[in-house]
Amino acid sequence: MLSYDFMQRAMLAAVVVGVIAPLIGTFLVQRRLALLGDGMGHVALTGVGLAFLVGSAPVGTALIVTVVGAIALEVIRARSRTAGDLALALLFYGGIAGGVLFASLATGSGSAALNQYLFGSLVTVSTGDVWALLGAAVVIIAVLGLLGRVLFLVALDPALARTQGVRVELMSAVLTVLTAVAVVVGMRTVGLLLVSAVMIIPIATAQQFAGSFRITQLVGSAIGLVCCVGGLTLSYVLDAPPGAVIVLLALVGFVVAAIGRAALARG
Amino acid sequence: MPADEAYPVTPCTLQGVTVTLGGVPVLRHLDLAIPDGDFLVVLGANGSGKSTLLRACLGLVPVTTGEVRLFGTQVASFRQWSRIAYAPQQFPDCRAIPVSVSEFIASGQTGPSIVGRRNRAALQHATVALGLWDLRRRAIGELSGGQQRRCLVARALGRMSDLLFLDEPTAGVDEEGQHLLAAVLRSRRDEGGTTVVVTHEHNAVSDLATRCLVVEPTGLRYC
Ligand SMILES: Nc1ncnc2c1ncn2[C@@H]1O[C@H](COP(=O)(O)OP(=O)(O)OP(=O)(O)O)[C@@H](O)[C@H]1O
Ligand SMILES: [Mg+2]
Repeated sequence: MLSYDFMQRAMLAAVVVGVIAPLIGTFLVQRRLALLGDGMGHVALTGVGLAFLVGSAPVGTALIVTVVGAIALEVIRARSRTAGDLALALLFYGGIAGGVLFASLATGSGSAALNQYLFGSLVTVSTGDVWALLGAAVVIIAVLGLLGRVLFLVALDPALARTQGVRVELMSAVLTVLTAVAVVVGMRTVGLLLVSAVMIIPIATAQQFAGSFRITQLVGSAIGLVCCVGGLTLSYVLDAPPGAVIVLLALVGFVVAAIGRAALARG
Repeated sequence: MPADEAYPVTPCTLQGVTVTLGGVPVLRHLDLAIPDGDFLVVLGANGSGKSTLLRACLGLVPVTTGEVRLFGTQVASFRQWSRIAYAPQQFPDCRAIPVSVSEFIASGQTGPSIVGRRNRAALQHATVALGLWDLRRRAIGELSGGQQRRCLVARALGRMSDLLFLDEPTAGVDEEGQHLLAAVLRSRRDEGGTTVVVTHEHNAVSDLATRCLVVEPTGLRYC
């Protein structure tokens, strides 16, 4: 299977998203923003539609549009009286509507082209995509390395963070932008509609047994890696969209962990 | 000003401070100076505004009149936060993801700086001093209320600050824990640290007071 060039590229992309997405997801779950990745995925859809329309590279265009959307979300939250989940809902709707409109205005690319971004694809990951994903992954890991402790404190106790000199709004914006970048990283393999699941489900699984934030994050990342690589392989065998297989595999892992935990608790 | 060297800057001053929450004035035109080396115990009925007073000192609630200064600087433009530590009354919601006791205590040393340097000795000292060493790997959400309170206080102590605010550090803490805390706070006081403690009871911690004040609807009363 890996003798095909396209599968090598798809596998590399899967490894990157499997490792990266749960690292971000840990902070999102801690802040009770589990659906933020979903909102960002919808915004990225507008980016993909726009790329179809103007003929630019989808990954790069989606990256720019999603990061702009992330910053807009934070500004709406900080400056207006709109509640966090309401701002997210606005983003959901605007993102889908924009994506569908732009894609339908674009000549030549039908719903099949859009589908590969919605649910991931094995055969269409280009070498340029792989480089973009690796670049984004390096940026995410570098930012988490530098600001991980601060992001942890902001997620844990924002008021206390203020009394330690942390700029809480700025750090929230950093997390949202990181989420946006992670969504685009996962867009080619898992697809925009399901990428957020790879941020969240491995964390839900890891926290069944973990006793600390750090362990949850690392085990979640390992689970994400296994699910993405395993799911991609299965999707090749089954000839099914990789996103769906990856997410179902992750859910199976969660169910097994939850049952295992319940069994342990009983004795 | 050369005078500053002879007389250290007052760690915290409130001048004519009014705080209004939900349209109701909670603190009215308060004046308070907390001098260097003070151990101030703050008493008062439930709802009298003790926590609000601490939060005003830290810039966490807006003041409608007056001004708050930390080490001589208006709180809004204050930057030397590493000199300040605070243990709030409310334990944060940590149930979304397990957080270990040692992670929780270490989170107090996270500053705004990009590359965090941690004083491991101080963290370890605070953990041991409050009797939390054997619990350090446990998930904090699984601890008892009194154990969680000790963690809140240990997190603030681990910052090695010049000015320490503790909001009800002994609530729900057993006598042994109160004596452990009192021992740490006594050596802090004797080394010249400034401490403000809100409490309800007379206990080993309130016995350390150099000054004691009661928050009342009419204002502050010293006792
Ligand atoms: N966010 C808020 N909005 C409106 N009113 C508030 C808010 N927070 C506190 N208050 C009110 O301010 C008053 C003072 O509250 P505060 O928490 O400072 O009291 P306290 O002295 O610390 O009480 P306790 O002994 O119970 O801790 C109370 O009457 C409370 O109802
Ligand atoms: Mg209070």
